[in-house]
Amino acid sequence: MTVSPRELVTGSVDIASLPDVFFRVNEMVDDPYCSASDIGEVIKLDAPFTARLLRLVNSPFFGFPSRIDTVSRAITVIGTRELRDLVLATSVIRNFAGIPEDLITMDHFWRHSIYAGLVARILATHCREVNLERYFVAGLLHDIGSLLIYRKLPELARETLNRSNYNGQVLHEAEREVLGFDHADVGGELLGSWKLPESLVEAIAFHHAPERAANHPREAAITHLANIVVTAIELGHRGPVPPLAVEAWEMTGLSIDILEPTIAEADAKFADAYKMIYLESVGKKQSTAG
Amino acid sequence: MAFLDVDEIEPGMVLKSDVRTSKGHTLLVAGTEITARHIRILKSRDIDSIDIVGADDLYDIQNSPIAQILPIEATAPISELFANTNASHPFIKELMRLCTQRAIEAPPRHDSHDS
Repeated sequence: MTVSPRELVTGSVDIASLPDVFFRVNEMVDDPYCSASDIGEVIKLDAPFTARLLRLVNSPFFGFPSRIDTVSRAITVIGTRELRDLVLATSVIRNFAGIPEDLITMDHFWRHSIYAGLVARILATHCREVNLERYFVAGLLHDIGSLLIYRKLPELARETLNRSNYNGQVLHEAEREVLGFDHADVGGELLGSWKLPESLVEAIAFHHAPERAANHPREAAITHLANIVVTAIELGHRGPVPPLAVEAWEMTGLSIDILEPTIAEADAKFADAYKMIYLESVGKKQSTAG
Repeated sequence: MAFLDVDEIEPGMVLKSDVRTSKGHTLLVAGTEITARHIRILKSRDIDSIDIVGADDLYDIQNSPIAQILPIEATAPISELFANTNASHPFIKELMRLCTQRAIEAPPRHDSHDS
């Protein structure tokens, strides 16, 4: 192994660090003495961020009937945890917007990720989980480690992608052979460095091996299943479908009958989610994507 | 079109178009997953080839419903796509069925270049 996942993360401070507003909000969300208006005060200090946040909460993805004009009202209607997750998602996408796209386009990467987030959230709904947005975020960020690999080890990354796209090898298995670790290891390391909740770190770090998630196996299991669904739905564009961890599916207690409506619902929500999460985050005008 | 000899058909393959008898009766409908019993029936009816999904034809998924969601440039046969996973597990089987259905539902491509 030439480099470890941790070295990859610590060596990428330019893209692997998040804006201050995120860390302050992240701390306040878990602090019982901080109110919604305290959090709102912190967010308001970052004017461009405030503007983006208000556009997001007023987008069709949330579908609130009336216009939300203030940060404190936004927090009241979507909740502090959801707000933290939204801040995280949009910050991460902006951070990575500038990385070279010769291995994979950011547009395609985030399409895969957003679709996975939707599927994870819908599966979690069927499982009657609470705090559904964390499942969306887990799905959204499940492959985030790949972006660091593309950025820091482009030649080895190309080798893994070639093996996956042309030789029928599952991507994370190709990575383990070529790099000695996979994108889930790097993703877990990165999210850990951001001091995100352990449930999110385990969901990402173990999305190919949910049985290894010591404390949050359900989060890892649902992220694992969502990744399998989206890889299949992409019909080979991201290489072959990875092996199913049978116990992950059994843990959900769901019937296979929910798969079809789950995919139909994800299809129906995709366009709005893509506009909100990706196009808004990178500040693109919503022109052609329908 | 991907007509395969009945001798090459294996259980789990999926029909791409209806199979009719010589008298025009529909024997099996498109989308059916072939079982060993189906193969026996086909042989007993002297049907020698049937149209199979994903056998050697690559899906044209450029115009499929998925293309509206994900920009697909590549195409891949479904059987290869699922070659590394637990194809016998009900979850994966259902996923294969849904993927096959999406591919079948893809509107046929009417491009001018017909080579």
